[in-house]
Amino acid sequence: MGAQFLKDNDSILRQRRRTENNPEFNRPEVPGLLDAVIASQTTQPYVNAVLVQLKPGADPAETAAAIQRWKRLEVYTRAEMGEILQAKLIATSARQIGMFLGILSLVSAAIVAFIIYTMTLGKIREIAVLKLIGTRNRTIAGMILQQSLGLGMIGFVVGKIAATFWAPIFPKYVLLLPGDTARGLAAVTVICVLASLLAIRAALRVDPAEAIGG
Amino acid sequence: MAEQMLGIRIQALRKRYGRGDTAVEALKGVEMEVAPGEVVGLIGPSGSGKSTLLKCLGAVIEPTAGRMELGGETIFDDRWRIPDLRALRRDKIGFVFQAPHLIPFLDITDNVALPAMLGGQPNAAARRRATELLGALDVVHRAQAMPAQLSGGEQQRVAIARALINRPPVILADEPTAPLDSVRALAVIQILNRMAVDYRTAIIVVTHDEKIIPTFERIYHIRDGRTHEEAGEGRALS
Repeated sequence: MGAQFLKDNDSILRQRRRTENNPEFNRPEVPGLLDAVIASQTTQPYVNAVLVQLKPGADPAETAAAIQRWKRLEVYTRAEMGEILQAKLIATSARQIGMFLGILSLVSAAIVAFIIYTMTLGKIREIAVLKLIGTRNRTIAGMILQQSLGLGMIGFVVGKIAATFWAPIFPKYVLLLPGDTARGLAAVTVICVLASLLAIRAALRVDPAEAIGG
Repeated sequence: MAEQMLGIRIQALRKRYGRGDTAVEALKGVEMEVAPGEVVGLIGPSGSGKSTLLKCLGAVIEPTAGRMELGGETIFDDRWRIPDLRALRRDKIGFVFQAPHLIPFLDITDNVALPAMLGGQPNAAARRRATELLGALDVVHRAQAMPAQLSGGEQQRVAIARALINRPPVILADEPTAPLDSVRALAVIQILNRMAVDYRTAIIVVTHDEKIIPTFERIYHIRDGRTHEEAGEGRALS
């Protein structure tokens, strides 16, 4: 059996405020009294949580039901505690990280799209020449897509190396499984394909006649 | 004369932009003939219809009426007679522009070989032919270089090699000497004349360049959408 002697932070703050406002404890002519009282209250012996380990063969549900008959006591089995941790704490963190990932994905897609679009606009004359000498639209689209994917792959490799070496010194450890890497690669590929669509559209609208004359 | 029919023949070619009151007739019945192995000049002031004529010949805009033959094949007779204009441009017409417009991320050999590869030639065969052409144009020593590493004159020779890669019966050169000094400009015209003879290609050179105009044996003046043929000086190129 283990016991956790903790009061929650709000409770400690409320009690400290009450003590400071009490003229019996907060007496300027008796220096140190208030600090002594607060120190005494903070190191109080209240039990916040108790960890119970059952003997082999004992029924957890029966034990929990017996404890629950006491007022103000909540009982959780190991499975229920696991559920609380996963569903509340870890799931909340996962949702937060997921939101950051979503925003970062949108931002990176916008950046890749902007770079590829700008590069394509800078090559309008070359694209017109390519069309004039008989290049198929799908070949031109493929070249732009390759450029976008190349950019994405460089970013992915740099990101993967940085994550591998920097992750251990982050304040909060983030577990990255091989499956996460594969999903990251798939996400980068999808982002790059989507980001190249605008540039491909611009390239396909180029008239080969633009290569001739001023 | 039978051979002349294999080059370029244009009859009563008209091109009108727009409709109704705002319509502009850029070509008003152009007549032109260029034999294989011949280089002719096409000159005229801005807005005279040079670019429109070149675009019609290059099958990138559709004439309104008339007839065009390239390499003995009727490509336009009041409507396009060729279903795949992209393949026509790739296989039958070589283009040389004012700026070489080489593909910056391909080396010189691949730049020249590109139209042949696009036409389905095996890469190795296309590169072999590209190397031959680069040799004929005296730039084979730059075969592995990137376009940015070449001088303007070298780039223009590479562009000529690219235009010749598919052995087209016709080359359309749009101000090919404009950015070059006299020596290089005359060298480019000399190369075009040599290539025309060696590869039996009919070449039209659109130009304003006073340096090269005296080198043509025949010149077509275009003004207000109509062409007038006259004999050129045909000054020898040394």
